[in-house]
Amino acid sequence: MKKIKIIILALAVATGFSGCKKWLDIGPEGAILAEDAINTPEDLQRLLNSCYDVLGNVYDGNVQNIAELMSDNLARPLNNLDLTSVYDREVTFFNSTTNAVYADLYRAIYRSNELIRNVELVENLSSEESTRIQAEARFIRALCHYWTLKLWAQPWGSTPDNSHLGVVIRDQAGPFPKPRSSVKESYEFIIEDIQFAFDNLPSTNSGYADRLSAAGLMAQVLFQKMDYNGAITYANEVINSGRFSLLTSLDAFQAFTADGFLTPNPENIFGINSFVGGSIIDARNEGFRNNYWPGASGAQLSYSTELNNFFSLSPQDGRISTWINEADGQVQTKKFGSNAAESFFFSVPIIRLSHLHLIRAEAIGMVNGDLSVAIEDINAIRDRAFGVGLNDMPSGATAQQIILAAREEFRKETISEGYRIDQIKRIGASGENIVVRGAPWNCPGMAIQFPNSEFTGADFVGNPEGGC
Amino acid sequence: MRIFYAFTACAAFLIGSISMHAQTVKGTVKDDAGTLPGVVVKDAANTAGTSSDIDGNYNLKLKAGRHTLEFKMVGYSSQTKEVTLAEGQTLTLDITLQSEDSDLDEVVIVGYGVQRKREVTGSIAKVDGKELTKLPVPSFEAALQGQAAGVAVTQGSGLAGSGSLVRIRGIASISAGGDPLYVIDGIPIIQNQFINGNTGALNSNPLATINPNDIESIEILKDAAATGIYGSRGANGVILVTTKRGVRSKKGVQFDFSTRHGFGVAASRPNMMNTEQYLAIRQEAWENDGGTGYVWLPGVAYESGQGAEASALERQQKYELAKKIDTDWVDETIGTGFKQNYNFGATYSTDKIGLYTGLSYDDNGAYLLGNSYERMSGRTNFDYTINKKWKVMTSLSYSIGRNNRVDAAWSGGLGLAMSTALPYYPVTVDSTALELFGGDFEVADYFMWNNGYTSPVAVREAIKWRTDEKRLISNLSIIHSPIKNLNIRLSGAYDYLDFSNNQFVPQELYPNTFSSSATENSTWSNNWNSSLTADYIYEVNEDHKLTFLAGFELQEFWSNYLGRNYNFVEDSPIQDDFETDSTIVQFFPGNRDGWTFVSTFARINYSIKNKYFIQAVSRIDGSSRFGVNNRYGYFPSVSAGWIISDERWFNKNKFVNFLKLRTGWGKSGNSDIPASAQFNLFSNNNNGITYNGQPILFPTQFGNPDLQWENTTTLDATLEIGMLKDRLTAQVSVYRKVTTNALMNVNIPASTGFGNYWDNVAEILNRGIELSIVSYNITKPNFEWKTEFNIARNYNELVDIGGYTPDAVSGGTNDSRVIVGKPIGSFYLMKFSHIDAETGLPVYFDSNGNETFDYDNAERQYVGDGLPEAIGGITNSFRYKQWDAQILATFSLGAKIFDSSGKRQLGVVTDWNMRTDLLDRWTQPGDEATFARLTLDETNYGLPSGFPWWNTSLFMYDADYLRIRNVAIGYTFKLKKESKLQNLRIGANATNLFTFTNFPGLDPELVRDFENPQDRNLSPNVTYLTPPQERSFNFSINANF
Repeated sequence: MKKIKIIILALAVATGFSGCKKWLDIGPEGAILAEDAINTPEDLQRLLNSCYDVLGNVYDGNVQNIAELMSDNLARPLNNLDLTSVYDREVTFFNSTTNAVYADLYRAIYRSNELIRNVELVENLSSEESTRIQAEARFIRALCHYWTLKLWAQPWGSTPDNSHLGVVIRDQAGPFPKPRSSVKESYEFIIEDIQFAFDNLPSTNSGYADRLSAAGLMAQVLFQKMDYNGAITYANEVINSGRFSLLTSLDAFQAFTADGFLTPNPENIFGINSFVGGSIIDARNEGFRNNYWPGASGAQLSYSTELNNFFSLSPQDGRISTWINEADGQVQTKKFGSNAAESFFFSVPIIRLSHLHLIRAEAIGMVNGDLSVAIEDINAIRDRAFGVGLNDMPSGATAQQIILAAREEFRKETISEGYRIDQIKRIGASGENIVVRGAPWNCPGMAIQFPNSEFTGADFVGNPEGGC
Repeated sequence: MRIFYAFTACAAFLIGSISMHAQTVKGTVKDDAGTLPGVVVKDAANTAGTSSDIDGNYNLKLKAGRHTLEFKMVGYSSQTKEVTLAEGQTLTLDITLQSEDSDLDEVVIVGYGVQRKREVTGSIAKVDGKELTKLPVPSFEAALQGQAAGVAVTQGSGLAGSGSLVRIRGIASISAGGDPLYVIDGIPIIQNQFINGNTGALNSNPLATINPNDIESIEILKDAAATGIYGSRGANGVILVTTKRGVRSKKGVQFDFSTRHGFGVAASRPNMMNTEQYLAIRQEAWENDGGTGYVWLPGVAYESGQGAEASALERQQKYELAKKIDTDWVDETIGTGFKQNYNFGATYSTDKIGLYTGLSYDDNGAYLLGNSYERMSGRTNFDYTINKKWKVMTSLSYSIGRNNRVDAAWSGGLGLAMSTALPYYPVTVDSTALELFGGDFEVADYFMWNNGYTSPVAVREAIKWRTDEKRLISNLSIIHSPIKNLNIRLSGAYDYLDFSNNQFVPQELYPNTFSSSATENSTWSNNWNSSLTADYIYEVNEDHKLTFLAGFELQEFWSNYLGRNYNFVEDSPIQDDFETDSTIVQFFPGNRDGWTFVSTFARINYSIKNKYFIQAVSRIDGSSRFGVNNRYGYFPSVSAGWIISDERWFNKNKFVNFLKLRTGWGKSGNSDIPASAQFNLFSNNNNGITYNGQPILFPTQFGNPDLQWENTTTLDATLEIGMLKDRLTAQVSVYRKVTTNALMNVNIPASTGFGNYWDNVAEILNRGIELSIVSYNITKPNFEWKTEFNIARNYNELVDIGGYTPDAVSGGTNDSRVIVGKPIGSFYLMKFSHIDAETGLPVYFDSNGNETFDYDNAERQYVGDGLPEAIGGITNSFRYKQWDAQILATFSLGAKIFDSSGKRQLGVVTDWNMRTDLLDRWTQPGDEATFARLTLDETNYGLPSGFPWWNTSLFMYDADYLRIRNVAIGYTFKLKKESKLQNLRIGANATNLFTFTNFPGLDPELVRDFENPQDRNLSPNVTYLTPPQERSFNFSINANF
């Protein structure tokens, strides 16, 4: 019996849980536990880089294509069903393409929030760096909220007090559901973020968001909010800085040059970069390349006949021959390069100087400001498109003529870039008569349906489906 | 087949011997109660036999000389007698047979020990290893089909290496793995089906590396009384596999050899349209939509405009050209697969040594062209008894599996033949095709559509693709018995699985990219297990016996991943060494994922008068998988058994000779969740991609520190009954399982920045009844007929999902969702009503039951589920003299199948080929048709534009079936005494000969490829271009010597 007692005792000791805590305390190797992830200023910078990485995945054409398909610039897609739904304004909550873009935009927002939260926690971070990182995070957060707002909600001005539903405002991280804010609240939140970014970003930032990126975005946002004086103010900040110049050629999306490197785009106020280095070819233009590049039976995305006709009204416009290629019975694009190799790899500007000239021109027209500035803005674009002095606006042009000319140039200049839809919605919401491919500017399908996952937890109100 | 019969007949004649019957043995057979009719009396060499008559008398004529006579009857111990007959002698031999509780003294493996069947208080089904090798299966678990009540085994598709779906007493998990725990010789082994995700529409099956021929027996633990000893991993049942060992009762050296050869074809064939049919259907749809002239054709290059924009003239020209091509893509992807299998085994036993060695080679060719699974395996189990107090037991097995891969289902191959491979697409380009499709093709090129990697023939010819599996399972036990009735066992085990997927895709398959690609994904897993147990039998007196077991166990698992991508290479990394300098190489090191368990457990069995049995089990499991706030789980169970027929008052009549009641209550858990779901995680590696050449660091997961196991409480009662001296035995069980804290990997709003979040949310109910019957219908000396039948009914209900909507958890891309009040595995679809006879358009029901022409995803509702109301199996075994035969039938009643591919094959006319079923469509007002008026425009069916995914119950069908799973016939040769062969049997069998079903699709028994365990739980009986099972014909030889 003694032996048994000893054995039972031994077992009891063995089964004691004293050593177990350590045995059970294992985590994944290779992944990083959140509490160990962010310790140094360098870690914060890497987290910030990852926000740009997400932008690179969504502004590579993916989000721009959706915006273009909602407008009247494109023809019906060749056979991509998800994109066809967007074109036909019948996006359902199952649309994996729009859902993926939405998820990416909010992924960048989430990471920005993580960044803002962690800035507080990292020691040895200079206050200058802390401010810069927060400002970049809030710029990215604003940019992504804004693009979500412009595609997933009806525009500013759709209701008198803008109490109609906007988007989900995410200002902190967490796995909880949240309802949509109103369009008014959404704009206020976005503008506050951009204001912070504008006030705190450095004047230059080696290709990442800087003070003028914020100014450029602010000009776009205020313009869309019909705050034309505000838009002029911020457009002036950028244009008058002298840091940017219009490209002399029409090669807005610079392809990589013969020696294999990207030349900096002097028009680029904010954009995303493709990168070549060592063994890495990191193309951030796949959304454009994969959809506009023609295959054996045509291109997935091509321009509408209506847009082609619109260009044809000014046959001397150099953009016709440079950007448009009629082939396979389609109006295909050459805006990203005239052949497959050129359009294989390029960086994508999101906000460029041309946009701001035309925004400023129209805004001046809207408030009947210094029309000569507006005429200069328009002529700067026309000189490049038609040849210097060949299609200039006369100096005596009226505000109304300027508005119309600015809109015309804006539409032409930004084809494929995802801005025509803003123009349509803003014009419609301001009370003017505008029809998009036979449908009202504010019909149900002009706000994309939210992903299915938004509906799973809370009483989330989506957009009406059913097309128009 | 005729040749085969002729061969066996001749062989039988040559080996058999002719007897003279002038000598007789006669007598009476009795038992304690009186004379026994029906006792089989025969010569052990099978040369003569008879059975006792109604008065127990027998009379057997034999040759002169020595004979061994056997007296056999169900329910009695067999007896053998040596007799020597002189010429003309008549010998009288009366025999008294001892009634026995037949198989009640049979030993049953329970967790961490064995019990006599009589003492067992839990629900355990035992399947003998011999049953597993009777039919050729891709993996041993498939052979469990139809063998045990309440164990639902659905065989995988015809794709080589596909595994079965095993569910024990329903499904009690949503997002956590719902498969039973597999334990081989005491080790919980690696069983992850998603090592390689869903590559090429195939989930991996780590069980396939285990040689069925090495298996001695399988015990299936079903209720908490049985699985409780496995604590947090027992909730979905446990399958205990015991491998063969050398046993003392068979001393000396013995060999066995078996081989099997055969071939397999598809059990059914997709009925896709030919060019003429497809063009006519398309033309009709075009005209229905108001089109004039000829319809435009997908994939065709038009110059005057794309699709409907093309000019009438060009549409006509291309239509006429298309008519000239007619490819049967199904024929291009399926054929006959050849199979061969060789097994060699040896046992050697002495008083001290027990040795089993097995070697096996199996080559299982699928009917899918280019697809096969090969396995080589070896095993040595060696036991050494040092002295009365010490014993050492070792097992070592190693196997190599190689799957020569092809794409299937959504990934390509036969799946494309059933979808986008239109019949007017040519295999190779000729001048007609050149004119039709334009592009950069040249004559004799393989034709490729949708920008490459499509044509099943081109892909099959050009890629090099295989997956390799290497597996080692080993263990060592030292058993010390210091005193009588006490055994202390220290065990260590190591289980290693190396899985490597290698694929080379030449540039020609991707015309739009500039590069070939070679990828190599390797996952290697290490699984260590060690345990210390002690068991002690304390016999208080004759009537009271206590058995104690206590144990401590540690388990650690690590899985490593490395992915490599090579671009611009000429060939695959698996085929050749090559200069990495000239290529772009990307390394994707994955996380090293690991988990640990620490457990203690104890079991007490109390036996009173050998007829009352009580068992109490407790286990405490701690696991690194659980959140820091919930580290340890406690799992108790109690159960009892009562042999009623042993009570004095029980009137043992001829009808009921045995009656046992057992019942149990207990808790068990499921902890099969991703190792790190509890953590908030970051990563600094995004498949080697950074941004702008700068390093990145980013969050990847929302963790849940409160995560814990699922908790299942089971109540079970079983009545075992033996009748007519056990000629007829039956078992009836009822059970109720309630699972709380069931894990859901909830789809959280995309605006959180993440997709999913693990949480213990749901409550699930399973309750059911099981019946199994074994009947010895005829037991004559020359003819035996045995019938085994089992049937089980399980009711499954999702009781609570914590306020989430059905879309919170979905089964992959399938339309299965979580719906409160409905089973797990429910189809959530727009309910289809009928085709409107006037317009030919589909009519739906909205969620209020009103009919509507509008399809609306918001109006989806529960329409049915894939869970059967009853499943079971019927086995009839016959023996006539040297011949034996077996027919195994399995059935499933009450389940639905959702044919997810029907949405496209039978819906809107798109760029998919269609099934000929569609010919039963509406063509004019008044038509009562199955399918709607044809259209090219989904909005005509009320669908949103760009959404031809017609998620309606129109494609949900009754899936009742009765399948003749296996028909086998064999001949065992009469062997002369001096023959070195002890046993020689030749046999033939056919699997899946017939299936009785009304299901209009390919196969009513199906397991599709799944995205993850959640999909596997939620989407049984959804098919999406899933290949049908195979029908195989095999010939085999078994010999023992």
